[in-house]
Amino acid sequence: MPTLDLDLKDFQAVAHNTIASNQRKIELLVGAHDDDDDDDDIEHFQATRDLMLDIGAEQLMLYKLTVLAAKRAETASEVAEIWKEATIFFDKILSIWSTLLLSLAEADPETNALSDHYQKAAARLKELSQDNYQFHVE
Amino acid sequence: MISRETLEAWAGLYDLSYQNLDPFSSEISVAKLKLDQALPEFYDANLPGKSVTFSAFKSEAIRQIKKHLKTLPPTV
Repeated sequence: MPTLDLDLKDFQAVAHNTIASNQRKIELLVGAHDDDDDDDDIEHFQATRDLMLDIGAEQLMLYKLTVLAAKRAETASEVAEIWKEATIFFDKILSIWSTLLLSLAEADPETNALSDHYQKAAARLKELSQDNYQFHVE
Repeated sequence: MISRETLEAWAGLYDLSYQNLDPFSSEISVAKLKLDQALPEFYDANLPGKSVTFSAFKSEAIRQIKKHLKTLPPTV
């Protein structure tokens, strides 16, 4: 049976790419939006919702990858390093949510509820990562 | 010396607390509290001379827990 061989460097690369790619997507989304065009507003909100769903899925996927990498690590200090990276990642993800919300000054109620849900989830994942780091650090 | 029974109990709590794939599981907080309590209690009761620091003891306990968990059939 194939196993997932994910080390700290792989994790850092995945986390970095996730942050960079979502920052780029937000910039494109904001840059392409025309405030005076009603049709564009609808497309803009749909694109924003899609992006929120993607980021929500990615943040959960990164948490699960962190657990798998931590499971495979041998020592407490290795596990601590992995959770430290995860804490940094979720901190950046929280900034991404803030940036996304700032770019959506007039979002519809559905989009607001969605962003609120995922932002709270990201905050919880950061809190858990910090706890897990604190437990393992020497 | 950590007995097999103690190690198994700690491994179960550790697995729930720190190796749980569901970050929103309600079991996590309870297991964390139990493990956070069990380790200092064991240290105080069994290492009264404090020949090792609590940090070193905890690190060794985590190593043994992880080693024990790797002997179990994989769940993922």
